[in-house]
Amino acid sequence: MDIIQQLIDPTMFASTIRLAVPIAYAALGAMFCERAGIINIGLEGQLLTASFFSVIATYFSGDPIIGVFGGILSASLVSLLFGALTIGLNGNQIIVGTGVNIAVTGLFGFLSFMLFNSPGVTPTVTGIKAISIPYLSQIPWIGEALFVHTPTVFLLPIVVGLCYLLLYRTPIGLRIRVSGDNPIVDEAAGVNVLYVRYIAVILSGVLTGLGGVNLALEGSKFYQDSLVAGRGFIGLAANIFGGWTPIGGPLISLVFGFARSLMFRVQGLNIPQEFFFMLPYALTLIVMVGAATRSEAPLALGENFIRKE
Amino acid sequence: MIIMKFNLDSPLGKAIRTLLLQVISIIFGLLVGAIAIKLSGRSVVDAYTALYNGAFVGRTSLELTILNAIPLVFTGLSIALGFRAGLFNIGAEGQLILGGIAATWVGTTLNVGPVFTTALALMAAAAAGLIWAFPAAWLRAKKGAHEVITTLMLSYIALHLMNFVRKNWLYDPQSTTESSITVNENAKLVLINKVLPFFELGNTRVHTGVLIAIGVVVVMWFFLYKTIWGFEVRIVGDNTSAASASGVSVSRTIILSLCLGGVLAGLGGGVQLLGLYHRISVDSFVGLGFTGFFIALLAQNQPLGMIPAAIFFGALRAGALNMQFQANVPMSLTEFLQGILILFIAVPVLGKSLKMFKAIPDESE
Repeated sequence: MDIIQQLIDPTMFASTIRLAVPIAYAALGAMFCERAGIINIGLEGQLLTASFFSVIATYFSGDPIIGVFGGILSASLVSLLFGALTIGLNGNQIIVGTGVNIAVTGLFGFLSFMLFNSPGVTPTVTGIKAISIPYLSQIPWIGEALFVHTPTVFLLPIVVGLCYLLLYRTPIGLRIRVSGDNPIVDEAAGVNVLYVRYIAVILSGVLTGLGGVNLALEGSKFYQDSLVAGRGFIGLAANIFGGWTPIGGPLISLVFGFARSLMFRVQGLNIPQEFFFMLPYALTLIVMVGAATRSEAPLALGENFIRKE
Repeated sequence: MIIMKFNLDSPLGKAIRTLLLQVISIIFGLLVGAIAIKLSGRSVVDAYTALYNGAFVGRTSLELTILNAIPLVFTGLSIALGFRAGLFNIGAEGQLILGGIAATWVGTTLNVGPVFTTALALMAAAAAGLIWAFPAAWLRAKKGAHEVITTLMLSYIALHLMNFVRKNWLYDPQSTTESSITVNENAKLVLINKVLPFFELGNTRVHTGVLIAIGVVVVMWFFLYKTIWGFEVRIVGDNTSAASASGVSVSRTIILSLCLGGVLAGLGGGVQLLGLYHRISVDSFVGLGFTGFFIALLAQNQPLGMIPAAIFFGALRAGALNMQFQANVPMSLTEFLQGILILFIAVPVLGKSLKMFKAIPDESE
């Protein structure tokens, strides 16, 4: 009885949305990369980078707005590094992505020790508070579930719409889709595949930047090594199960948000909490089974493109 | 002109080229580290002196280097085996943890005398690694699910399972650090001075896991280069469509290489637990699997290369610990260096520039 009551509670609904948002941003980033033909494992590191630098920039400037820009800019730079090594220098995408993830984790451990004498943890900063939308937040149940959230949550539907328009209604979106399916066609049309892929990767940097801001500035208010905890990889899986579309990935993210919000709900039950911590990852595995039977993956996914002079 | 005839494509030439590439990578990595230390206002000389001393100077340092290297040989081999088949078994970490959990369980509940208890615990560890690798292997082979995501998810699950084991299932009520109970004496791996008395090693912490590691390296070399299965793994990795056209079952080879990788990582977890930890603590096994990724790359997936690669990183870890104490430079620096080195090795530009040496004209023919 108690459980059912908790499940229809508006705060449960709100936390599902809140916890889905960083995964949704990662899924959108994964979507652009993969539609352009690139598997970007470095999304995890990009989220971590945005979390770290949004906190650091806020800490030293005292202004969370500077923190937001710090987060987005730093994640974009890391995505640019990933792009330079894979697209520019033809490094293997999985190996470079893993290298990025390990390098940034180590770097932030190093920097946090040097700055605050605490490896892998930063002090707490002001952060960004939740906003109540006037009038709408007064609606019973719906108001509490949908209209009291932090800015990046409200921003997400707009971003999803923009991503949709960009991918399906603009020339660059067309070029991204073609460069993932058949890069030679892009080249035949006089488009430089490498530039197109750079744009897709940098878009993933901006999107994971917003995801990192959500996690750090709006969520924990500080950085720690385990803050991202696989959300970048879960975003990759959500994008795949969402059929590589700008709407599918974020929708699937809600399922992960629900799994995560369960962790905080069922502590009254006599089940060790570790099993609830496993839930999002187990769910990702199940999603991968379902997703694998689909076949609409971009055809040239994971293959580096080498230009002929 | 006999002197000019040295062929860089001969096996020896390739080996020299590879070695040169690795040495240049490592020097580059240390330079990046030096810049990071310098920028943070610490003394580079002090830091690197402490690093060197902690890794190689004195008996304790050398032992720590070897102890650090042992599990990395297993995870390096595990990931290299995947690489050879064209797969990315990034989740060796989880398979290692499962091996450790299984070894703890057997080592704390079973006691059938020395050697036998250890052997059974190690077998359980290998089996647990296999079980943890199988879902990812099967999904990859039959459903095409990307092994990077599946093995990573299994790693996160393994991490929480380990926390459950030490806090609930095998928890030690007397432990103040939320560690599990300790395995019994008969389950522990024998120390190396006991089995090699004629070397007169004196008191040591180094356990017989070092011999198991060397043995596994030899077995893996034999497997890859002298057996049909190993041959199939290599040709699937080199050219999947050609292998498939010539009648090699690609899905069977994928399952074989990922599962065998699981066995290796699981065994590594068992060796680490029975040899060094003897119980599961908060920070047990952390990063050993991910470092294996680096070891495999550094060794260019050659089984025999795992030993020097693991010793190199074992030394770096041992040295970094000393560096943190002596020069106030955090150990995370090694993780950063590891990532930078992976990026450096991943990019084939340097490999190409080394090939330029080849362009020596051969005038004798």
